[in-house]
Amino acid sequence: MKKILYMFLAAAALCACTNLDEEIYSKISRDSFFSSEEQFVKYSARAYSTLQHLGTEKSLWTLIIQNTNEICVPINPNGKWWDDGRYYDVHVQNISPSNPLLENAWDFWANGVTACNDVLDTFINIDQDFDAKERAIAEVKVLRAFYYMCALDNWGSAPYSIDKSKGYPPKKDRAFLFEFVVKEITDNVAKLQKEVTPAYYGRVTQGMAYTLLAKMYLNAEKWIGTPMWAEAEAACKEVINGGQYSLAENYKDNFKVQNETCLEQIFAVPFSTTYTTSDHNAFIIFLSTLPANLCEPFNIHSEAWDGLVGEPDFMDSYDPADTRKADTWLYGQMYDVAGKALEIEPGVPYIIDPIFPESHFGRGLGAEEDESVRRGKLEGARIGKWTYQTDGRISGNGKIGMDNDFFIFRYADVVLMYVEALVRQGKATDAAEVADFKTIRTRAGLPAMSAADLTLENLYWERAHELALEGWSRQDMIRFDKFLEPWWNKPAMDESVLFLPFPKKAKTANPNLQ
Amino acid sequence: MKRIAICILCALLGWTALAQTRTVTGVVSDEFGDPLAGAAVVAGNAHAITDIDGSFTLSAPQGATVVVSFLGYDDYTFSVNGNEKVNISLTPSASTVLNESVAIGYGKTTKKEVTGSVTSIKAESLDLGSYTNAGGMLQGKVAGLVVVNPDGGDPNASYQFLLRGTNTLKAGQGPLIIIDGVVDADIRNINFQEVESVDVLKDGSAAAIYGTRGTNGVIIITTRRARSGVTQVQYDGQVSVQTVQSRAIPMTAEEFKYTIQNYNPGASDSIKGYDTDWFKAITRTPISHKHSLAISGGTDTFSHRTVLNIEKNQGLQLKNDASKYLFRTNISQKALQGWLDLDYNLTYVKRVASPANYSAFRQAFTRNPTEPIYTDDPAMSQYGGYYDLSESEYYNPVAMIYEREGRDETSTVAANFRATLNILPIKGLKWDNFLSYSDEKYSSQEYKTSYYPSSIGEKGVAYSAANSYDDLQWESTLQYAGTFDGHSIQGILGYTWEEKMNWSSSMENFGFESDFYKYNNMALGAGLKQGQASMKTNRSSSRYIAFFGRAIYNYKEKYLASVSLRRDGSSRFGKNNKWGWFPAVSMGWRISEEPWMDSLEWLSELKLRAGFGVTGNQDFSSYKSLLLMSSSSYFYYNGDWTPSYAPASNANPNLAWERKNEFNVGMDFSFLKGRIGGTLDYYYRLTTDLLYEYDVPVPPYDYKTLFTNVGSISNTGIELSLYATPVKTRDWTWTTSVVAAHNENKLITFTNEEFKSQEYEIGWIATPVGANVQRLIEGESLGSFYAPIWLGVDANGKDVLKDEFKGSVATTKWQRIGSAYPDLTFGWSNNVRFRQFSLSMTLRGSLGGKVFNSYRANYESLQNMGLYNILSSWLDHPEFRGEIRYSDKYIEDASYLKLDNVSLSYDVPFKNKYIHGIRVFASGQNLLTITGYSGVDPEVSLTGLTPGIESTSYYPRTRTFTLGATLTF
Repeated sequence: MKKILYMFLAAAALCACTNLDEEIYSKISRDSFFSSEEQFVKYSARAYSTLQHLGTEKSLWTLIIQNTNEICVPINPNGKWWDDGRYYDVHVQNISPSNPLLENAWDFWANGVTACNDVLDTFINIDQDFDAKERAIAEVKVLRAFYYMCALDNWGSAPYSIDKSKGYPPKKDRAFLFEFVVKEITDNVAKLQKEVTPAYYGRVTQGMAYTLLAKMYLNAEKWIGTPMWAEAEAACKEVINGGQYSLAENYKDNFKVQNETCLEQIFAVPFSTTYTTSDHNAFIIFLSTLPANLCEPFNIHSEAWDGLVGEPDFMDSYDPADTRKADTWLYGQMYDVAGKALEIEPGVPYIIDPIFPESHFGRGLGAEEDESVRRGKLEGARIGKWTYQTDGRISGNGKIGMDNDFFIFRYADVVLMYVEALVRQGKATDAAEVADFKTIRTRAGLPAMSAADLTLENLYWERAHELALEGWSRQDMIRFDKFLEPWWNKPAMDESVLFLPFPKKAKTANPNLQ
Repeated sequence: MKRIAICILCALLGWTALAQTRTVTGVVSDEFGDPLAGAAVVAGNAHAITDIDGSFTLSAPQGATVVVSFLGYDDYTFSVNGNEKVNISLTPSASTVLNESVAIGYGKTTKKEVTGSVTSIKAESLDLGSYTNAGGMLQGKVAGLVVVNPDGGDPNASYQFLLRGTNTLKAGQGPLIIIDGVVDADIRNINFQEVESVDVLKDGSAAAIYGTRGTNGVIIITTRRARSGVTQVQYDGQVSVQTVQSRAIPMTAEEFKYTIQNYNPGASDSIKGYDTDWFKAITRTPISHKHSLAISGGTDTFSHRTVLNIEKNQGLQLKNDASKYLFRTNISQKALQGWLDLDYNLTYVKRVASPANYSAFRQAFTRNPTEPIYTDDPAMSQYGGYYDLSESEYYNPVAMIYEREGRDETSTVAANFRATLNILPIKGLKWDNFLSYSDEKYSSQEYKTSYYPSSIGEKGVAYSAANSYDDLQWESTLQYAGTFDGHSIQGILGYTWEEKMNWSSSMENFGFESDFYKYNNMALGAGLKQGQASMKTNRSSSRYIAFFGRAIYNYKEKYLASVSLRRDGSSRFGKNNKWGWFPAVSMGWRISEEPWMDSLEWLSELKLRAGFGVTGNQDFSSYKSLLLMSSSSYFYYNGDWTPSYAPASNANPNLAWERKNEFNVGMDFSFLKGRIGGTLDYYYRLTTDLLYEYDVPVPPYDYKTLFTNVGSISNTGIELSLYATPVKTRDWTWTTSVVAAHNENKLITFTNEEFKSQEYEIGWIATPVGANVQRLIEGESLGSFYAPIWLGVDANGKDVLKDEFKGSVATTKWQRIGSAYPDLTFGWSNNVRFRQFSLSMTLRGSLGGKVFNSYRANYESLQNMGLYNILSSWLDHPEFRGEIRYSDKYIEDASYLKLDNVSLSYDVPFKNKYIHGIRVFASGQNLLTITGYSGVDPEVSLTGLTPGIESTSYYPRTRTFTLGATLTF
């Protein structure tokens, strides 16, 4: 009996059947990921691909354009877009910590930092060496600095974590983060790629790093209380004198479907109808802004949502000669792809009026059913800055997303920052002579500005119109003391709204943010 | 059995002494004097079987002891005394039920000896009728086991099981199903008519022998096995029709017009002048038939049972079908002079289905009844002759049926082999080895033509998927059973190893020049060229290993005890937690066996039981403990798009099973020779280390959530089963049984210092309701509904809600309305036999749960009336004109009483040389529901984290009427 038992146990042990290691087939464990240099570059790609989140419906970018004077989201003619007031609250600068737009905006920078930390941790700890290792590390460090700039710009303080040590990251104030970002850039800029080549499209280069640095210094007075205009001027000069960038002949070249060869781009987020198609990485501004009945005429096979429209006061702020108005917005008579004037119903021309009364911006659940407080079908200019693709490839069934690349930094922005830095230092005469600045004006159908024209007020509106909808309005309005002022139906606000609140989810996950 | 052996021994001795043969003839009858056919009459190695008249002839030596036995009756013994004619009347045995065998996992015991909470059901007490699988036959039969079919009359519907409440947050809730020894077998792969018995291991002490898979209960199904004897052929055939029992009823064209004209004139444009019954347009009266042929027979050393089964089932929805082709054989063989028992099983099952389009039912409901089905309007030519409008989520349901072609096919080959080595020198010792392999291949194809409403402009969408599931298990046990001086011992030591391997692949393409190819030439679609076709494959595996042992002891069948221990491991667990211990102990005391109880003659059985056991739940997907990279977004690199990689999960080396400790006390009793009896159980189960996804800070974590063990839940309940035979005469027998159960669920905690989740508001119902209808609150039951309180409608017809402020009620002011879980579930089965007729009836009910009425919440309002149709029942509340706002008026009492089954069978009194039996039956299923609930069916899914929410994508409930016959040759 005992013998048999031992035999039996021996048999069980012999077949070595106590191995419970998991075998993986369709995903890869990070431990076995790196086998070639190319893998390193692809590994760092995830720090970049996080940027694609900007193009989605609820992102830091869409939060910024709604939180400022550019965009509003009234309840649409079909009673949609109230959604518990999430858009309304962003518009009137009264954002609650559980607002989904806020949560996604936060995730943008937090996921970005996490991706960079993970990539850096792996790069630094891996034994393998490859030629571009130092540059690759510098790239990711500056990219992380960009994500932290987004955090300190919008939230002021933020959890600070630059490695993978576990535990709740401490909350650090704006001055600390400012110093960290500036140091990361200045320590690493020399190691970065200088020349603009196709291989470095969409990646961190010296031009990108200096533009980021310029933005830091330009806002230093607001952010840390120390004006750093001269430093900003110097950083812009690095970009301008580097000779890698120039203004595009046409303003629209920056925003066309195939815009990747545009010489004005400094830091692009490439998008693709084929490769960036899911709800976390597709560029889908057409869905948010177009009414469903404009899709077919534009050869877009989708039922768009008819939500984001230009704020009437902003629409009213353009010089009538400014061609950038029509280059940025869709309003007036609508045409299909063949150039035929459209009718919204038989006999009624499809003419969109960019100006509509405040009373059409309904509030609350009641507005969902009360038609008199909804935006009318022909009201509200639509976002038209990124040329709509008319090849019919944008369609429903999950195959969404525009091919236009999104330029986070472009040369015209650097020129305007340079001009501003000069004006702020009392060098308006020099500023008026900047050739590229003149070109920006003439490209828009406007006369060049004289030194006398270069007031802060005019400079603000020049930036507002040139860079409309590109995601800098919140920073700019704060820097020009515009953000707290009332406009259209937004009341005057106190300084507490200069910082976005921490999202509820982030606070739940990290008690240091309570 | 022992007694028979002794008799045989006596008879043998007698025969050598006297060796004078006599012929005994006689008639064996039951207590009413009716002849008993098939009774065994044995004297030594002489034996006879009574024929249809109960008579027998036996040649046996003078003085030999003759034993007459018949299942369910006490043995009758007499001595041969010359050539004589005897009339024997057998008395029914009191203890039949007590001696019934009960499967307890890796072995058997008897009902009187069992110490855990185990419900054992024999085929006789299952209802006749038509089932999509054997799971349906358990409805209302087991106290504490709730069996729900959430998919109504769908011929591909499966049942959901919930045993003793919800014990998990995120892991699965399906019980472990064991069919003829194969662990985690697919209940759809047997013919429900082949079920011989079902044993449900309910409490921790019974289920602990299955370790990390025991928490949700273990259902052990035994099918009819190989049997020696003359060849027996049995044919079962049945045909069923179904009619609609319950559905969501929209307004008719007449009501639609009336309502718009009188209450919503703004939508007058929607009145198109036709009268279409959309539901009728997509449904039919389904007819199904099932045939099976079972052949069994053989010698004592080699026998088999082979079953052929064909089913063709129609669904209520047009083009919705399910068929099944099953071949199964079981061979039993003995070798090496009793040293070796062999058992082989081979199964091939092919199931072919044309799946239902659930959303077509919803579209048929919301469709404007004044619109026509077809049109030749050139403005609608893009819809292919169907009338349609370009509105979102508004599709012609008839086109959804006819412009879609779907086919699912599952074929399974399963083989298993059991070899039992009887170590004869030590009586009762054996070494058992079991090897089982099953290979399931699943393929699914779908084609939506260029006129399929939701994909107009796509020019045809083709989809094809192929999956395979392999399962290999090996189990080796050393077993011993023996009795010495009243001490009875049963012991087992075992090892088991199981590996599962899944492979899945799918592809999709669109943009076909012609609808002719369907899914048969997918490369032709333009989507592939445009880089927008999709292609996916995935493979995963898991391994499961355990060592276990159990000892069962009893003294004189009076004092009972059982101890078991399992060492269980799974590849799914984190590397610090691969193995766990699962102990169990239970004890029983049969008070009725004590000598001082002898005076109570009316008491046949009284047993007290108590048990404690630890089980686990590991029903979650593989690789949850690892940091995995997945290719996430594409990244533009050097002019090309290349995939980037990102973590898809955090590593959790501590990931473990959900652990349940359960304490159970019970009592089994029977009176009046077993005419009345029952079981009462009380249990307390505490599940800890519950799994949930928690938000974690990113950085420093790699991924934003962590799947980890934090929470705990308790379930406490009482279960009662009663059975009785109130009438038993020669012509009449009435047996009845009642099962009832009460369970209290409590979420004790689901957060701790480190892990918090803000997702305590759950059960999101999309617009127009736009609310989370349930909450996870520590200290309350799962499935707790929260809502603003509805006070009535104001003069404008708008809902007025309590604590309303500026048009809405803060979620903090919502009140708890109740839980989806019922206070009491019960079943009542009856069988009345009159001569050859047998009438059975099963009622089942539930008291006290709540259900969210999704159809009412979405469609009993004028809000979207016009483009969409609404519930006809709005006409009962025409004062309500406002928008839909979530409130407690949509949460209703889910109490119900259902007449599940009524069946009548008749044993045709016709027999001849070839035909040994004919039985015909008629049954009706799901005949009647008595409920105050105004929705489709108060019996909705109770599993998962958000139970009690009726879905708007549903399949109507049907009544099934079946005629069947069983012929035995």
